[in-house]
Order: sequence, then C-alpha cells, then structure tokens
Amino acid sequence: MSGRGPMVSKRHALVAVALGVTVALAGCVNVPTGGRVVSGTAPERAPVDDPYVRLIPVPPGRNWSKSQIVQGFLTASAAFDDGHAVARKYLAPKTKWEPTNRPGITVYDRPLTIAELTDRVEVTGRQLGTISTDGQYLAYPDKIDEVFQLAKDAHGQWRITALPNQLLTGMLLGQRDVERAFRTLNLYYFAPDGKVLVPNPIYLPLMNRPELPSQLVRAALGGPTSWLTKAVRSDFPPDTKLLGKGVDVTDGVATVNLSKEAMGGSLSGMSAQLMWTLRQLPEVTRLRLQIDGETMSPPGMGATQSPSDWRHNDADKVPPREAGQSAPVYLSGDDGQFEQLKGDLPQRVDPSGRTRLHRPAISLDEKSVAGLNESGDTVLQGDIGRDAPRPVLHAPDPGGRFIAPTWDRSGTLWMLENYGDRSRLWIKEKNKEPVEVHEWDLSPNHVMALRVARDGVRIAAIAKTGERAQLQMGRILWEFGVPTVAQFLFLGSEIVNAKDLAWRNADELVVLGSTQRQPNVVPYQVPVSGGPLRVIGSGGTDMTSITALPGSPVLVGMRAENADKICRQHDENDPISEWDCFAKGQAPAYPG
Amino acid sequence: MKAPVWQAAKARIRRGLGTLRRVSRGVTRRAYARWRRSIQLRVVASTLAISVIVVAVLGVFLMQQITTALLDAKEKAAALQVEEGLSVAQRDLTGIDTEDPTDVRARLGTAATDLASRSGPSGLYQVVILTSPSDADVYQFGGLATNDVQLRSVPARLRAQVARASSSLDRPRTYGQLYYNNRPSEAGLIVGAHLGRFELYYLFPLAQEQQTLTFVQSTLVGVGAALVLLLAAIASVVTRQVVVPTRLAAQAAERLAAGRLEERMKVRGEDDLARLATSFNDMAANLQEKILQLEELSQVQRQFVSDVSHELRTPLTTIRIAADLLYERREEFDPAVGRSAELLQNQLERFEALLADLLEISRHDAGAATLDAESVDIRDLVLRAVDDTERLADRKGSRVQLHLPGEPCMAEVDWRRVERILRNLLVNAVEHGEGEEIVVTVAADRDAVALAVRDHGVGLRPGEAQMVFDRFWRADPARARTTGGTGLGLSIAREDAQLHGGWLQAWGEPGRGSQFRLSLPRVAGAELRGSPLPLVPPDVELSPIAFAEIELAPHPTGGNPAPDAGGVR
Repeated sequence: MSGRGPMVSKRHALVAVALGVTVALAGCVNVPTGGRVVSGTAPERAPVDDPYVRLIPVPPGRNWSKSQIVQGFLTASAAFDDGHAVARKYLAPKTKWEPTNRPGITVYDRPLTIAELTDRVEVTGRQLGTISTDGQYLAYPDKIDEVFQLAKDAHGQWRITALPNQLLTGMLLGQRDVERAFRTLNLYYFAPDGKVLVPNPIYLPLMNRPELPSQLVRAALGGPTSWLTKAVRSDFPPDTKLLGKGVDVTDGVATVNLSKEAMGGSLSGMSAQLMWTLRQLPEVTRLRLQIDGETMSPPGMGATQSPSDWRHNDADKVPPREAGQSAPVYLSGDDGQFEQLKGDLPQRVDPSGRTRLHRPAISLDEKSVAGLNESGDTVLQGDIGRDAPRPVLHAPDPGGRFIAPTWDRSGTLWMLENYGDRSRLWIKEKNKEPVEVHEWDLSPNHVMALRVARDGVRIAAIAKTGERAQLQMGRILWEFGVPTVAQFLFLGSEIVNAKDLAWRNADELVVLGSTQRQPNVVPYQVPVSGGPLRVIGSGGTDMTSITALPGSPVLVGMRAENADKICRQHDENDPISEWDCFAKGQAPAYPG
Repeated sequence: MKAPVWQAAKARIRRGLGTLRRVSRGVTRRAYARWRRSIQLRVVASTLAISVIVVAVLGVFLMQQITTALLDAKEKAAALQVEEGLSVAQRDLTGIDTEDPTDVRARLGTAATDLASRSGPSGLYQVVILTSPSDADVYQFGGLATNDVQLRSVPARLRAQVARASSSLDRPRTYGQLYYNNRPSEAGLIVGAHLGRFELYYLFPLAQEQQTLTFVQSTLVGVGAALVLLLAAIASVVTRQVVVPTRLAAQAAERLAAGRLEERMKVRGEDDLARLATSFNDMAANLQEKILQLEELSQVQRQFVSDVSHELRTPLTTIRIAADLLYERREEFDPAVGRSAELLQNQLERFEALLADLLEISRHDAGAATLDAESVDIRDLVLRAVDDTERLADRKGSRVQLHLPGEPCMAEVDWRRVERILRNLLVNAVEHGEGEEIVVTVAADRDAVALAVRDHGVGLRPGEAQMVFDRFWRADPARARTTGGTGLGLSIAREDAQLHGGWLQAWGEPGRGSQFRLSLPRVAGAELRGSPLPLVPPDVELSPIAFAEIELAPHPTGGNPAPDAGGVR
C-alpha cells in the first residue's frame, strides 16, 4: 500500500508535466507583431513561366451539322494535349492529318466564314501570316479559302474525310489562339564574325512544360529559321541529334547529350549556343555538355558551365567603365554644335566651336562619329576629339536627304538617303570609299529611321508604307564582301506612326511612335520576338529622337517650351516614371 | 537423391528453430526475471507505455486542430480570391456576344488569362472556365484551363452542385485531387461559381499546406518521442532515488539475518527513507541487545549446570562410600532395609551416570568438547560395543545381528565418542526393541562410513524421529525406566556425531520399529556429502509417511542442505 501511493501520484505528475509542456508550447505559437526590418528582393520572373491558358476541346456532338464539325475541328486543333486526340475524333478514320510537334500554322484574324456545300465545307477568311514548321512567324496577309471534304460515317454522323492541302501537316488558328497556345523563345546563333550571339526568336506550341528544354535544344540543333539562315552561323555540325530522353534538368544543371556528329563542332561554340538558349528557362542555371554520353568541357572550364562563362558572347556587352562613370552621351547643341554630356551639362567637344554636326552617331568603339550637315544632304565623319568631321558622302540626287547614319560592330558606317518616295542605302567600310548597297529591300519606301543591331546581323527600320510608318526588322547577309539587306518583318504592328528607334538590347527596341489608341508620340518598348508593347515613362510631348544602351537610361530628344531638351526618366527602374528634361540639345546618341 | 537432402535440410531447419526457440525462451525468461525483480524497470516501462499513449492522443488531437485551422484559413482566403476573380471575369465578359463562338473563346481566354496572371508564377491557384455541356453544340469547345491543369480535376459532384445552384451567390466547394499534364497530381481545394452562362472553377493546390502539415507532423513526432524518452528518463531517475535506498536496506537486512548483528544503515536526511533506516537501525540494536542478553543468560545457565554437577560430585562420593558400605552389609539387615540398600545403590549408579552425562553435555554446550581423532576400524568399535551390550540384550531376549563389510572400514574418528554413540544406540535399541532382533549394519564408501542400528520395536510416531534427540525426551512418559537411560544419551550421541561433522538421524514408524543411522566422514573435518547407507531400512517399502519423516529430518550439520540421506531415493 505504502509503495503504490507515491507511484500513482508520480504518474499523475508525469502526465501533468506532459500536458503542461504541450500547453506551454501551444501558447508560444504567436505571430510576431514587431521585429527588425528585413530587406528582400523581388523574385525573378521568367516570361516562360507566365501563366497560360489552355483550351479544353470537346469531341463532336450528336447530329452536328457539317459546319459545326468543321468549326469544332478547327477549335479542337488549337488544343495540343494528348497529340490532338480530341481533334482527331472529327476526322473519318482514314483521313490524313499529321500535325508535328512544331506544326505549320496559318493565322487568321477575324472569324472565318463557313459555308456548307453538299459534301464539303468552304472556309473563307483573312490570313494574317503563317508560322512555318521551323517556328518562324511571317506576316503575310492573304485570303483564306479552304475546302474540307465531309462524309457521313456508319452512325450517320458527318466526319471530315479530306483536309485542304495546306492543313495536312498543320492547322488553321485564330490570332488569339496562337497567342494563347504558343510562346516565343530565342535560339542563339553566332554572327558571321563568330564573336557574338544573335537571338533567333521562334514560336513553340505550349505542349509540355517539362519537355521544353528538349524542345528548345532540338530546335537549336535544327538550325536558324529561314529568316536568319546563312546570315548567322551555327556551331553544331549538320545532323547532330539530341540523344537519350532529351535534356535532363536536375538541380539546375541541364545535361545535354549530343550524338557523336557533334565531335566535329567547336565545344566552346556549341556550349555558348546551348547555354544562351537554355538560360531563358529559369530552372536551368548550369549546363553540362555531353557527346555520346561523355561529358566534354570546353577549354579552361569545368564539367558544368554557367551563363556567366559565356558572357563575352553577349552582343550587348558594354565596355567596362570606372565606377561612377556613365556611358558617354553625345548630342547636337545650339547651331549644331557637337557636344558631349559631362555630368548633366552639355559641353563642346571642340572648344573652338567649329565642329558642327546634326544627328550624330557614335561608333561602338567610341572613337568615331558620323553625322549630317545642316541641310542633311551630306554625311560627315571624323574621329572624336582629333579632327573636325569631314564630308564623306554627298547625296547624288539633288533632293536626296540623309537620315541619321548608324554604325555596326565592325566599324562600317551605314547611311540611308531618301529621295522622293524611295530610299538608297550606302555603306562605308573602314578606310574604304562609300558604296551603295544594291540588295536593299526597302528601296521602294521612304525610310524614317535605320539602326543596325549591336550584333551586326539584324537591322531595324521605320519605313513608310502609304500613310503608315511601320517598324520593320530585316537581316544583313554578307556574301563575297557585299551585304544583302532583306527579309524585313513587321514588328509592333500596333504602332501606326513610328518616328525614331534604337536598340535597347538584343531583344528589345525602343521606338518613338503612336498607336491608334494613343495618338501622342511616346516611347515604346518593343520586344523583337513579337511580345506585347509597353509604354516607357509618362508625360512628355513632341518627342523627336531616342537613343538607348544596355544598362543605361533611355534618352529622348524632346521639344518642350520652344526649346530642344534632352530627357530621361526620373527613375529608370520604374516603367511609368515621368520624363525629366535635364539638358538642352537634340538628337542624343549613345555609342552604337 | 532428393529425399536425403531434403531430410537434412529439414533437420537443420528444425535444429535452427530449436536453437532459436531456446534462445528466445532464454531471453524471455531473463527479461521476465528482470521484470519481476526490478521495480525501476517496471516503473520506467509503465511510464513509457502510458506517456506514449498520452503523447499519441495529444499529437493526434493537435494535428487535427492544426489541420482544421489551416484548411479553414485556406478556405477563407480562397473564397475572397474567387470573389475578386469573379468581378474581374465579369468585367472582362461585359458585352460578350454569347452567340458567337469566336468571341466567346476570345473573351473567355482573356478572362482566364487575367485570372491566371493574378495567380502569379508560383501557381497560387489554377482557373478552369467551362461552358455548360449543353452549350457544346454552340461553342464547340469545353472551356479553358490555365497552365497544365487537367479537366478531370474538377469533380463531377462539384459540377453537378454548381449546375444545381439556384443563387448566383452559391460557392460550392470541395476537396479533391488536382491532375496535371506531365506532373504528379496533388490535393487541392476546388471552388466553383456561376459566371453568367459559364462555370468558373478555382483550383487551389494544397501543396503548401501539405508541406506545412508534414513539417508540423514530423516536428510533433520528434518532440513526442523526445518527451516520452525524457519522461522515461525522469521516471528512471526518480525511481532510482527510491529504489537505491530500498536495495541498501534489503542488503542490510540480509546481512543482519546472516548474523552480522552490528550491521546498520546509513541515515541521510529526514525523509521517509531516513525514517525507515532509523527504525531499521533501532530494530537491529534491540535485536542485538536481546540476543546478547539471551546468550549471556544461557551462558550463565550452562555454567550453573556445570557448577552444580561438579558441586554434586563431592557429596556424591561420600554418599557413594556410605552406600557401598550399606550395600555390602545388606545381608545383615532385615530384608526390607536390605532391599532399600539395593535400591539406593541402583539409583546412585543412575545418579552418577546422569551426573556424568550432564557434565558431558555441559562440556558440549560450553564448546569445550574436543575431538581426539585417530584412524580406527569402525568394525572393531562395533564389535566392542556389541560385546558390552550383549549381556543387556540377552536379558531382554534380543539377539544382535551384525552386517559388517569384509574389508576394514577405516575412518579418522574419536573412538571413545563413537563407541559411546554406538553403545547409546544399542542400549536404546535393546530398550525399545521389545525383545525382537536388532540389526547393526556398517557400510562405507570413498568419503564416508555409516552404521545403522535397526530394531523392530514399537517404532516412532510421526514427528518423533526428531524429538528422540531432545534432552530428557520420553516416548511414553509413563513408561518406567527399566534400564539405566538418563534421557541424555541420544542428545550426547548427536552432539558427538556433530562434533565429527557427521549426522545422526532416526527413522521410525509405529509398529515397524525404528532405525538410527550414524554417518561420519572418513577424514576428520571433511564435509559430509552423503551416507553409504539408507536411512530407511531396505526391508520397509517406501511409504508417504516414511518419506515425510525423512523430509522432516533435521539438517545434521548447520546450514548444509540435507543430502537426502543418501540412497533413499
């Protein structure tokens, strides 16, 4: 008896302790109501992982009419799940239809008209453009007039028995469907000089996010799209394949296993192309290149490579500057004085005041300058700070007027002369005489602005077609020392009246222009891959010129209060920050 | 060919199983023994068991509470999200031409994109906008889903509920599994609402909640396990505080019982255990005092007996001389007086014998008896003793039969004492033998010699086999002493046997006579392990009573276990 008493009470005590501890722990749980301030950064957002919307297709209903069947098929083919399993239900069993992983797409803009005939259906509409199987979008307005053959199956239901030829391996999609079902991503190829990489935007259908790295690498191995073929160089030898189950991404390391054909290619070149292509995906932070299962490392690098290893292939790379020093900005001041911004103050480059230059353009190495004389019929060129620019080219046509010249990365000066409604393109290579470029696709148009991209392969222009001044992007193909400037694509088609442009970086243009909704001329940021426009800054009127440099604020020349001013955004990181005019002058120019 | 292999394998398996069973049984037995012996183990084990139950119950309860709280919060947040999303979607759908499939698709696409972009890249939720199944004819599409969520993530029961919902304020919701293309499914909360002609579903993945719950659960399990172990450790420590002094007390009591009367416990503090130690020590002190007193008392008594015996000797000698004189002259007295002189002479002899026995036994009591051992043949002693008692036996009409071994039975003994024992036994047998035959048996083995004296008299009643060795004990107090027995003979015999390190044991059964057996080690001082002779004569079949008698037989020497009277079994 005496032994049990304390034992029982001890056990009670233990239970009480357990309860007490639990209650005490529970009581400690409290949301903090104070504490020190912790700094944080905005999480990085990759456009690739922006949410997207998928269409849920329905199989054909009972007793649907012929037009319903065709409409249903067209709609269902916009759903890429399960290899178009639902869309196939609209087809008779033997109908041929083989949309590949990267199908050819015909894009239409307004609702199609569907007309029922006895055993076929005629679909008419307006074509906006096409996406070829290599992913290149080509704006190509045309008429759509396709005929679908239909027949009743054993259950008395209409099914499509024959597709129009154009749709045998592709599909007909509305603009909204394309926007919804496709994403644009860049492939990277080398510029002819083999030093910098040129982005080649392609349209990829949104099928399978985990498969995207493999999709991208396969596309990159397949070579540039028709638009850039020959203008760029791929370091992948022909017929190089991706081996295994595709790209394996584990802990941020993407392992790309190429077939042995790749032995013939340059390891650094292939690695750079792959790294740049894959770094668009947020899940990839490092790359491991394998050839036939064996890990290969480019000279001087480890088994895995990071994007910074290939930073030197960036066309947007600006020369390193001392801390606190910003990129040089030149402008044309009063009476066309050639001036440079020191701090925020314009100062004459030539104190004697004899150097007069309109619309200056600075070479990428920041040594040479080119510009126009006051009337614009002569292009002047000189070395900054050494001698006054001398005329290099007079307009041969009496009414010929030059627009602002532009430099490419090899130091070639590109000059464009408008005469009447036509234009002529000249180049002046280093230490050579100016020559006319005969293969110039925009020669029938009046060109308002022209800028060569920093990679030297792409060229952006604003050309007048009828009343509209539209933004276009072409490519420069050098053959036997002679350039061909062709294959212009429309960009930012919402901008109806563009005035001036500049390359902000390899992926974005900044364009002064107006849209139908916004008649004022304001700067827009235009992704060259065809994404949505974005207005830069707010306020400001009567903008005339624009310039940009990677890592530096966008500068615009503006006419305000009867004076030409140079303005920049109050806060360059805030897209809607106000324009802040800080110096007098016009036509500001960064190098390039 | 196969059978032997199979047999061998079977045998091996059986052997293995047997070993396993043995080992496990051994372990179980040891564990059980440990369990029975250790209070500490029992307390710790029961604390462990109970605290496991308590902690488990508490943990489950806590988990449930946390889960409920978490899901409640999620549902509230979800409801707000859905409301906000609905208003955005309604704005996007204003002026929609519900008859135009292209417009519907475009508008719903815009709405879905708007809603999805509010979800953020981390995928706070997925949105599914569905056209009602009956509208499929008009729109030719089922609806729109964001990202890679599959349509089957919206359970049919929820769709039915949304379709039935009468008011546009109804927000049916359910928990379900969210399925994705190329991604494992996960648990989710699905909320539905009417969006004009369409159905809007918000699918909230519960991965975050699941992660939180898993974390909380693993934390709880860890804390619970730690708590249980801690409680067990506490119980162990606490019990130890009680058990260790108890164990010390037990040891002290054991030592006290073993005769170390000076054993005491340490008293520390003033708690219960200190009181126990104090009272234990008091008890031990009292016990020691009493035992010392008793020892002193018995010492005094022994001394007294010894002194009395000595003191009686001198007058007795005088009386003896006078009595002898009277006895010699008895012929001269008249017959009655002569008879008195004879009587006086007889009783004086008895008195002398009694006095001698008293002196002898007091010598034993005082521990003054010494063993004067020398190697003798037991057979000679037997023959001599039988010779001495033959006359008495003849008188009683008993015949003594001897069973002696052929070879000498040498043993290191004090022959005077052994002869005295023998004489005592023989006299005793003659006295109680009722004139029947008396059998004396001698036997020897490597370590011991034994002799047994068997009579066929009245025998002993149950319990008497022990009492015969008591001082002045009589089987029948009324019976007259016909021979000169003093009542101390068997006691002295037993003392003598014990002095040799031997045993003297008795067996008897009413009507079947009795037998006394003396067993002695061959070498003086050696320990006796068994006897070459059975205690129960071989001519008596073993009966339960007899067996009981044997069991009752005292251990002849101190604490040594009774060797079961060798050979009886």
